[in-house]
Amino acid sequence: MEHRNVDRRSFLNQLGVVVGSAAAATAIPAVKPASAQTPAAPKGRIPDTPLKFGHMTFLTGPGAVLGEPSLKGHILAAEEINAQGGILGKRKIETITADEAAGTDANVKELRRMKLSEKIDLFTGVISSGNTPALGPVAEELGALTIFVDGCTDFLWDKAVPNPKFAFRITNIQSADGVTCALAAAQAWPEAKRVAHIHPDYSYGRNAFDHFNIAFGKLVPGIQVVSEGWPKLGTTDFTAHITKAMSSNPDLIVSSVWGGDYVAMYKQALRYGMFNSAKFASTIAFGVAPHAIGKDHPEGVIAGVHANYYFTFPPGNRWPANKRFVEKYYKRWNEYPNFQSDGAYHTLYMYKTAVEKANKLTGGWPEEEAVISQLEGMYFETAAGDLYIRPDNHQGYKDAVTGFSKNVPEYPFPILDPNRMVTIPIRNITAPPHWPKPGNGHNDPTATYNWIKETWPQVA
Amino acid sequence: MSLHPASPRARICGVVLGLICAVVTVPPSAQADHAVSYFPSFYPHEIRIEPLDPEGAAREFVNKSDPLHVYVGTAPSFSGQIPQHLKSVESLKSLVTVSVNPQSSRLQAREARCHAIEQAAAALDAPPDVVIHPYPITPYHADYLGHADRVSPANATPTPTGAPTPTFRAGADAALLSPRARVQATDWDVSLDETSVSALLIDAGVGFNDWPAPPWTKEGWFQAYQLLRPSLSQANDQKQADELYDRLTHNEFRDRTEQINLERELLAALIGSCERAVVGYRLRREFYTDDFSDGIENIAVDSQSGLNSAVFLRTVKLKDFLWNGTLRIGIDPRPTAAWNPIAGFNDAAGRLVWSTVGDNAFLPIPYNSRWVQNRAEIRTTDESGIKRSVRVPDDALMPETMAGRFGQVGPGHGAMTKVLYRLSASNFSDASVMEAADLLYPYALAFRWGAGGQHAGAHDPEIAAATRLIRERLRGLKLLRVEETSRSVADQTFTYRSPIIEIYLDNLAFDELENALVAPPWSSVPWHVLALMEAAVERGIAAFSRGEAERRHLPWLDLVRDPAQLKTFRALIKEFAQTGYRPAALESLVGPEAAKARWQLLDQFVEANGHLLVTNGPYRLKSWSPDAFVFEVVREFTYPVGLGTFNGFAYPARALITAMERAGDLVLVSTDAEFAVKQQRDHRLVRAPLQPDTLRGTLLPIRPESHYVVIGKDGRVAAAGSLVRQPDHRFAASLPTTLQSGVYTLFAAIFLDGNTINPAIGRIELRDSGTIGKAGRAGGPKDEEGKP
Repeated sequence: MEHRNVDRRSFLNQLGVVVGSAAAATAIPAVKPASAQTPAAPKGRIPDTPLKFGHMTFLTGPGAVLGEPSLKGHILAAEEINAQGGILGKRKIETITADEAAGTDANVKELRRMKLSEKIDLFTGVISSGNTPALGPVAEELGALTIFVDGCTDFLWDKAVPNPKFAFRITNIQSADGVTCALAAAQAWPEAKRVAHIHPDYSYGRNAFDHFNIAFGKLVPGIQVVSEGWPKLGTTDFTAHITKAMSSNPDLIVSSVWGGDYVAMYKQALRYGMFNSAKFASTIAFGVAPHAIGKDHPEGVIAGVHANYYFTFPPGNRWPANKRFVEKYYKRWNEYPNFQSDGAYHTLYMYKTAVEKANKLTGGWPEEEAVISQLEGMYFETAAGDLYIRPDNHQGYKDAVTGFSKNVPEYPFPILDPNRMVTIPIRNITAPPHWPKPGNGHNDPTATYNWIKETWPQVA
Repeated sequence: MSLHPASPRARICGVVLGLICAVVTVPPSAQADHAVSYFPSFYPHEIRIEPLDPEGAAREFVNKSDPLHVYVGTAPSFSGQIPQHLKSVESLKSLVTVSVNPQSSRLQAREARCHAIEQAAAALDAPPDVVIHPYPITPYHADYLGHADRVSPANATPTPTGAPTPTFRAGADAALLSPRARVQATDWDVSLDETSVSALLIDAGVGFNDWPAPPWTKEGWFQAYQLLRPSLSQANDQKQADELYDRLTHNEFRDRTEQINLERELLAALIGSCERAVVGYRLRREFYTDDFSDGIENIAVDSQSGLNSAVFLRTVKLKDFLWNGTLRIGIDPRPTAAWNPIAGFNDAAGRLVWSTVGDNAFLPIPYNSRWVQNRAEIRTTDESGIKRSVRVPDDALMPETMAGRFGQVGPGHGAMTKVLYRLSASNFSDASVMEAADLLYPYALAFRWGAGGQHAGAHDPEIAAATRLIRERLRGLKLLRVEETSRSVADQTFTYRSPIIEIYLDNLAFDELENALVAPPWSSVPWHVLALMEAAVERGIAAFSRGEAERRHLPWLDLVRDPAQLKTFRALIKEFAQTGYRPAALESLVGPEAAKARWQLLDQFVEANGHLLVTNGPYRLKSWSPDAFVFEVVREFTYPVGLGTFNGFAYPARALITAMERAGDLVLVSTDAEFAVKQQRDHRLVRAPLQPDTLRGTLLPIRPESHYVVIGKDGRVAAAGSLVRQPDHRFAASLPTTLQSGVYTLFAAIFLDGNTINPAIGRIELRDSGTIGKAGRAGGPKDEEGKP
């Protein structure tokens, strides 16, 4: 561990944490985004046979609150591309959907079926981190070009597919969730020493707990975890966890409870006045479709978006790519996108861009190898900012986003406060390439955890 | 399962013990993020059902602090305008009939009766929710297409003639009559009556509780028989109707065409004598709140029971919650039926309560007359699809008539079909683990209480009616094995065990699912609660059914709301816990120690909960008062059916036929789809041409089912079948090669996702149709082609 004499503000500045209405996604792009470009005439002969894409996402079950926006983003992009004649102007996209709720084993079979029987050209989607580590190795085995929209566990690249060739992922890595939340909390509430936690009692909750604590502890000296609540899967009554957390007299309550459980929890917490008794920070409160959150949601809390994307970020429409995306998405679906919509939509444009670049080099319809080589290391403009596909692990990196909840008259649901948006360059909060994975010299939960532990200074 | 005298228990204990459900294991690796693939049970984490009168419902819908979400049964009585945040849905509530007074001297001749019925129909002053419809099968019956020619717009509006109108019986449903109608208490000609579909079905022996309903419960021909058959006075008419009904219920027809013809003949037999006729139907209009925050969504409406259905409770969600939340349901009228799953729960409130706590093997699909698998799954077998009898294994079991004891079938027995079930076991709410005895005991109870006559030691006519099909058609049952499956949720793995049971039946439907509906090996109530009820009835503490309670001057058995009964039940439980009581039928399946354990669990349950409504459904009774019944969700992973399972039934799409044309021996049908698209928290109706990639609701694909009937001038159905989707997305009916030359009318309907409610039916006149005698000549340009 490094022991440098660094103050919090300086270190947060070093990390690139930006807060406020001036926060912008990234620098103004030098090129127009793929979705706004008129592609140059392709080189060589391009077949006009349709491209078959498999999109697997939750169509039923609790995950459908994320799967539906994902499929909507995918459909929107496919419709736009097809309206322009298809990829390279010739090959229209046909999508085969599969319900991820069928279970991991069934999902693996479905990927095999899609590749071997349906001969899909691209496999995409997937929400659950329970599924990507199972599907990733199969994609590699089948040689199925795959771009996961989510399923963001660090485990995918740390363990399941340490040297990917065919598998990519567009969504920020999971460890960023807890770290982003910690940085936002440290920036906003550096006086918060007594921290109570309420997390779902499975690996996501533990991941958020671990990464929040390691990062927050570096930034706020002398923190003390005064309470831990681990609601079991399926819990509907959170009052015991709420009262336990409140009775520990915390300065800050941190939670990664998500979806319908989060809604139940915050409504119950409102009755107990929890949000008045301590600051509150969530990794994923606003990760679902924006309209899903009720107007009674407390204001001024950190309402995480899975460290990925929010439809009003950056405020003031200063990121044209997002402005265009939100407008098109709203026009098509009469609702606002979430991070799954953004990921699924840009997955197709990223693939399209890679094919076009490869076509420029090779002519004709490019070989899959050529497309992969274009995806590796690609900088790509998305609604969430510039996305970088790191060549070593095929992981997409884009600036992490979070913010503070606020009701505004423009929307019938709360949004992230336009004046208090938080953005952090993702590469500053995730382990660099070739950092030892768990089991290689350390047994910490993730490479990022170990990297933070070993390299971040303990601020004064 | 084999039961030999030597050691029967030892042979089956492996299977019995094997039904333990839902074991959780947590793998060491951390591979899950926030998204979980499965959540047990359904959306609201609490359901509150409150008996409310229509005025109270109107008030509660605008209650600012705790608004009512949905009102089931009827429309609220709004004092002014209907609040804008409310939406309504419609379903078939009742059938309006005119019955001729057999004593009326003026109406002894058939023609006079028919004329009087027409005149009576013309005298109706129907309010907006009553539809004049002079035929028993309505657009809310799935078999409407097969009768489309009989309810043309021309005869749907009766016109009065100059002849004197009949006199109406006073005290009947006179509110439907125009003020000019003559009403008298005696010497009346006709009686105008309204019969609710649910009352009709209860009279027909449909239980709405733990017993499986007959497969054809929602079919128009079945309901018409129940409604009109009692009015037939002539033995010949009765015989003809009964024979046709028997052929239909025994699947005695070669194909769909013959089946429809039988249904039509049955209807003709029922209405031919003009002793009673359906002249219209009333729609039930039910309201729910669509408010942005306090509203509900994901609504599935049953064609005949509206929002009082198991599937509605399994799809409805609160808008402000992704899942969870408290759903507040008002219901009218106030409950009158006892809460017991054997012969209770059969009023509207009881039915809703049972839909909440119970979990039948199959659930009625809301918008047609079929059933969806819930806790039972049908497995194909070597005999699947083969129409021949099968041998019942010697060691298969059958309950003895009257005694209910299980004995081996023995050698030399056959059955018409075999159904292989895979059942989703789960723990009961008293923590007892589902075992073979729980699956089999309902059969014993059915044979014990249903088989004997009025003078038998154990008999209840309502059990007899509800279990008639089981007793008539069951030929054997055999528990084969228990299968294990696992489900990974986040980083946890849950293991479920599913019994595999063969059921042998004398039932041979075209559809294997229809066979499976006859006698599924399932109960939502554990054997010890059934046995407790049985013992209570035997000891004269209460009666299973309302009718027996009245006849024997006993209380109607109620597991929850009668403190006196509950006190007696608790004493029985303690007695049985000491003795290890199990009914004689289960002595070979359950040992005394296992029985003691069950009674002890039940004793603890009643101590903790104050009631005995022990089930394995998605919700459990938490508290109750005369004004509210509160149910809490089962979020335990022992419950095997999860959030979203039935979402496909919410907001079904509807087809609109835009054009029909003849092209040789094809009839081509063009179709638009009208479907709901979810946008933020609202659902907007969209109409678009139906294409293979048309998605509805939350992006579910639309699956069309297309059907046609070809009806000749003689009123016979000449052909029936399905249409085939063409590359241009139209649907094509191929006129069968067996069609005789002649004039026909083809009726076609496209049921999107099986939605048969109020279908758009296209018709086309086919002149000079048929291929027989035409040497394959296609329809010529002179063919008259009708508009849909």
